[in-house]
Amino acid sequence: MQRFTLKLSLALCLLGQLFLAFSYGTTINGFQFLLLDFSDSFATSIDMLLCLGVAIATIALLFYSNFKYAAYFISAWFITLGITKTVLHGSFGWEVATLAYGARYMLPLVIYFYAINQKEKAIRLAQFGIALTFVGHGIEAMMLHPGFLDYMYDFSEVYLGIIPTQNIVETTLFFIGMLDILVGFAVIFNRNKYLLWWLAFWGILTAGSRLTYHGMEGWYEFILRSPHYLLPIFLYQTRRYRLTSFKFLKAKDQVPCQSLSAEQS
Amino acid sequence: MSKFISGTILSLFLFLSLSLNAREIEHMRVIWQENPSHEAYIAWTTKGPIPTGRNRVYFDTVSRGGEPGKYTMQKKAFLQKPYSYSFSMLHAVKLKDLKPNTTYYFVIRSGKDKTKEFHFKTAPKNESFELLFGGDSRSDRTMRREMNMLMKQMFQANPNIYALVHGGDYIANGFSWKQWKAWMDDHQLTTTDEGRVLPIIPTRGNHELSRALFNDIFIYPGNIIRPNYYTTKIGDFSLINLNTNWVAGGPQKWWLKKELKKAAKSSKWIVANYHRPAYPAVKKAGRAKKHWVPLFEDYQVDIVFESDGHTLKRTAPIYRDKVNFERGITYVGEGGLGVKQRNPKRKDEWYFQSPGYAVSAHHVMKLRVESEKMIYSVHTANLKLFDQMEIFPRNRK
Repeated sequence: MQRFTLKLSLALCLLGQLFLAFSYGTTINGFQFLLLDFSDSFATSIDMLLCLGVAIATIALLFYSNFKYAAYFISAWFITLGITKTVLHGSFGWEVATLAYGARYMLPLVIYFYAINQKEKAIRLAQFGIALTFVGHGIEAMMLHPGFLDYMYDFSEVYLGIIPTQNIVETTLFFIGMLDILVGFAVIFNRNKYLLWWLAFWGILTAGSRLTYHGMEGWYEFILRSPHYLLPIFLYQTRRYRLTSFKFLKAKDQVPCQSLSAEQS
Repeated sequence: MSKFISGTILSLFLFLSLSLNAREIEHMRVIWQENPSHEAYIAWTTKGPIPTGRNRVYFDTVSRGGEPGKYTMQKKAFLQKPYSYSFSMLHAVKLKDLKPNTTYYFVIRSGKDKTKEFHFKTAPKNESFELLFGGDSRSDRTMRREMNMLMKQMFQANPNIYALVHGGDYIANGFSWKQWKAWMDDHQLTTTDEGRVLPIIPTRGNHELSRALFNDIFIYPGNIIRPNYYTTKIGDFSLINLNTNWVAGGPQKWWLKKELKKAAKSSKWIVANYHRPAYPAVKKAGRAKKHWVPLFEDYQVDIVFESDGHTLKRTAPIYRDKVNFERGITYVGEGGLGVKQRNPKRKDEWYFQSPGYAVSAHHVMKLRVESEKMIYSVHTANLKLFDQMEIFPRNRK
């Protein structure tokens, strides 16, 4: 079941992200074109080649979860997206883009380590991934990200029939940001079931705000954020797996202290 | 201990002396915001972090040869502060109660330093006029300078051009004082040989991430209540400048609705201008599409200027997401004042059907506003006329 959750998340996330990348290009394209002074067609070709590589790697990882290089390649691609976004300075929250992408670039690694039975490492990486994403988005919210404010105004007007004041919306977003940061840090140290429910609920709600805002045209925005809600579900599913310590990074092959019944079977 | 104290005092003294002596005036610019027929900001930079001496603009409606004492009017800098993220000093003067369509000659004095005489013309009330439009002057300084010199040529040859409406993305990193400094240096290239300054009507782009520096340089367009969105009113012409780097819905949308309602009653011409496109040639549509386009259509805006894509585009007239030659609105621009031009990946979208197009070309646009019609034209980097269209008054009833 855990593997299904992870693979579903990978399939959805990459489908959304690659749709976006093939349709409009990525920040890797902008980085090559503007900062490395490559020609537009060359930068686009490299960008599309990378996207194609990621698509192949995703399919490979879905069928062969222990394919290390596929996992590393997808993860590296997501990290590069975050870093190039930061370097290009072109969007609100660029400073924390690499943090906010945490769940996305950790996901392939979680799948790989879970597949090779390094479950502790997989769980820890999932925890860090969610933490980075929540802290990153929390900072953006506290900076009053205009996109988030627009989602809130829109949701309030269209679905609740209330026209909120600017103060209310901005204060609410600020506190949401604080809460995101708090729960982001909490999940590193704790896999409390209420905390994980909250993370999954909030992950699906914020991803779903793309649907309420854009309508069905926002489908890819919703699914590419699937790690934000499916990784907490994965953590919930592996909650009974007892973690030893933070020394997991050095461990080669962890022997689980207590395996889950579903995995044993 | 005493050595440390004396050392600190000496360093401070040296620092202050250097600051006081470094008074060279640079980055002189004229900024238009809401009421350019009667008001204008003149801003400049001096080196060193402390304002000292007299920081004033001396001005008159006749040329006085640059001798401050001969000018009949003078105004003290109302804003003097270090620019954000820099040690250079910002000075700004607000000229009020100016006469429309009048040439104002001025010199700037900061401490012992003074500039030569410059001049600008206030916006007219009833007469025809022309505005230059363009965006995205970032990332390629050589090309930006070329485009600025091209604008100077146009400005010099055509005294009926009054100002430049910059669509945003002046520089790549909005937090970088070094890049802003270079942009302001390059803007001086638009001043004519006779000293006529091309005023700027600023728009905020996505690369102006630092609100602080953008506001320092363009003197808080829209003020603190309306972060960088405002209407420039010139007689019968309303230019609504929006901020795509801020909430598109909520307060900005409410304000836009009110502003359009007002403009529909008081103006013959309504033009919108903002950075991130609603009908893009390269990227995804911005939030303007959802929040502003329906209002533009309801109030029958005449033409919309967009930037950001690094291409040159003109859409077919669009109404309710369909081509409509009667009620449709044409979206033009996408930014070519220096930034490297892209291939317009979305050139086959339905909204680029004839007479629309999307191509890759550095460009500057011009809008001639007359009482009976507006003429939109585009000039590419070789000053060649690329496209022209006439716009007639709309029936807004």
